[in-house]
Amino acid sequence: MLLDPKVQISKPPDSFDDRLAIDAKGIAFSFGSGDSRTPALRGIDLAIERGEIVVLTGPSGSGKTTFLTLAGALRSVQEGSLHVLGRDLSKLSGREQKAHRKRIGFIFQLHNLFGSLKAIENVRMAAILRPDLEGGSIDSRCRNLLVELGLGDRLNHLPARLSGGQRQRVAIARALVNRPELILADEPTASLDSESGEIVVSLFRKLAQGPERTTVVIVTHDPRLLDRADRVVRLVDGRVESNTRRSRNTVVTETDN
Amino acid sequence: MNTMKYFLLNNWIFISEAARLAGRNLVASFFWLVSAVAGTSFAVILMMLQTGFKNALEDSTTSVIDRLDGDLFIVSKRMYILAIPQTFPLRRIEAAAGFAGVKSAYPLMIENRRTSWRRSGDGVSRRIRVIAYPPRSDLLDIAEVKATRDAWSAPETALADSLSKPHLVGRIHTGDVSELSRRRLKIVGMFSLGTDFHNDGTLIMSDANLLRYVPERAGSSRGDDRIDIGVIKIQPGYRIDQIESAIAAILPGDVRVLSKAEFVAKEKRFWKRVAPIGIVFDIGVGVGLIVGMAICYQVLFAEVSDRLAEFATMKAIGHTELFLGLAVVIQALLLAAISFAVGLAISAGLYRLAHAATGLPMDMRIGDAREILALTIGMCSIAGLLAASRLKTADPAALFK
Repeated sequence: MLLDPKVQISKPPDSFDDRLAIDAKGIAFSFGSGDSRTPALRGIDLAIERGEIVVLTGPSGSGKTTFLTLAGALRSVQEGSLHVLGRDLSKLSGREQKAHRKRIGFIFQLHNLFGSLKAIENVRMAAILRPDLEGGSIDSRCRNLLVELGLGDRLNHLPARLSGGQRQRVAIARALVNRPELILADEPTASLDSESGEIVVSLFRKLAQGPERTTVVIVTHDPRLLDRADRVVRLVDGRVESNTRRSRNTVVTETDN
Repeated sequence: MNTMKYFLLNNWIFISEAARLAGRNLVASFFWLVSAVAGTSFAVILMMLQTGFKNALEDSTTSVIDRLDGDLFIVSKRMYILAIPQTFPLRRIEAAAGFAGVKSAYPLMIENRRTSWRRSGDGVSRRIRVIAYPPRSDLLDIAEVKATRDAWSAPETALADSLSKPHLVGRIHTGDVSELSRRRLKIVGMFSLGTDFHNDGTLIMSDANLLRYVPERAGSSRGDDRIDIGVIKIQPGYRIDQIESAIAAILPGDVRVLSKAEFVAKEKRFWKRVAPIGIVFDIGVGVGLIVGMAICYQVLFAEVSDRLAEFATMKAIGHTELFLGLAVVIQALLLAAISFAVGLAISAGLYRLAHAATGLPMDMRIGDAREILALTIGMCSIAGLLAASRLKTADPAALFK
């Protein structure tokens, strides 16, 4: 099986709190080496429960996206311990990392759709990674999700014939079609109008509260998302400055740097 | 085989999706497609033309032998190619004619050094090949030649090859009267034979006629006349190889006896292996292959580079480099198929043009077309694999900005 890195869905034997989607302890990460070494994260401790919608915010260069790349197994952990969906990422091989990523939905600031493929075909490119999922055939899963995102009449349109917001919704559908257990999103609503943004936020909420209790971690400055998040974690200079649970108006931790 | 079947069955969904992506990427940009097909087709055309000229070289050198109606051929021992005739006395074939099992033995002369045809338009004289033999022998199996034998049996008459190079020997028509080696000659008919790399045109006349134009060939007696080939026909019921050995045994050492297959093989062997010109065409095919690979690699590399973010996204969501590389290689194979079809069509047209302009036998052979298709597929596959290595630089982590 060379074309498909089979995902190991069964839970591993790591001693891990199953309620947590992400458990980061003392995560430090630097770019470069020697004199050009630039620290991006300087010891992040962060626990995110399954079903939570967490917004990461902070100034540019604070380490938000670096944290996302580590949680998404797109980079390897340098220091500290990072468990994501029950797996200790520091123990995963490159192939296992690829397989692990199939449990995660990625939404990037740029949609990165293949301009040559129709909307439904772009979503299908992700859907084939999990052909065994319940909920109908690969095509019906793609179609249903695009309809839910308000793109029912744009299924067979090429990206060039879609608006910026519509393209972003196709990219979101591509991230969600395999019902990921964790969604990592970078400014997912930046190019969406208020109506489209509301559709996406509602979908995130529905997934988080659904039976699979999908966890959503969003890097954003969009106030619409800040208001709808369960928690807002502010990073400054590679450290957690504040960790505020919005629904209860309680501060979980706060650090002055 | 079972491993391949298992692989295909288990990965079918990925293979079909990679093929879909490859096909769509191929036609996504009309300008890119036209550029890619133009570049790759150019290499196909280059290989086709080199192969065509190489075949023309081989075919043209044996076109006379191919049309000779004989089973065995006596030639001078010094003759290494037909284009440079080496003569021997006529009496050698007279000796063979009396041999048991020999139905007939006729002389054939080929003269191209002492025969100049005066162009009727401007009066400029050019060397021309003259093939001469007894008209009644029908040595050349060309219908027009056989049909007009009475006409060209007459003195100072000849037939002219309609495929002679018009820019060199001029346009020759039936009824033209001009000069061959400063003697009057009337063209009494036309035939189709074709030129080669050594001869620009051909006339056919009787052996008696040629001796008038090139008296140096005439000996002190009939048996001393200088001829180039003795064409022998064998009676039915006799084995050609046995008679070949028997004749060879009685003839002096200045000649040799060849079957038709041996005669053709000898000629082709010279152009393929001895003369560098055959190798030059092979090098031309190799250059076409390298040029095509470079062009194909460049266009595919640019294509992958343009879509690097999309490919990186695919890697982020869990697709393997092998899957993405497969899409690039399939795109290369599709490009190969389209480019081959376009190249084949253009080459067919160029073959016709070259044939019309030079008279060379430019024939598209199925075996050669298959070989060039295989080379094109190989060329594009390697280019695709090299271009796919660009995928290694697609860093999904860089997508989070």
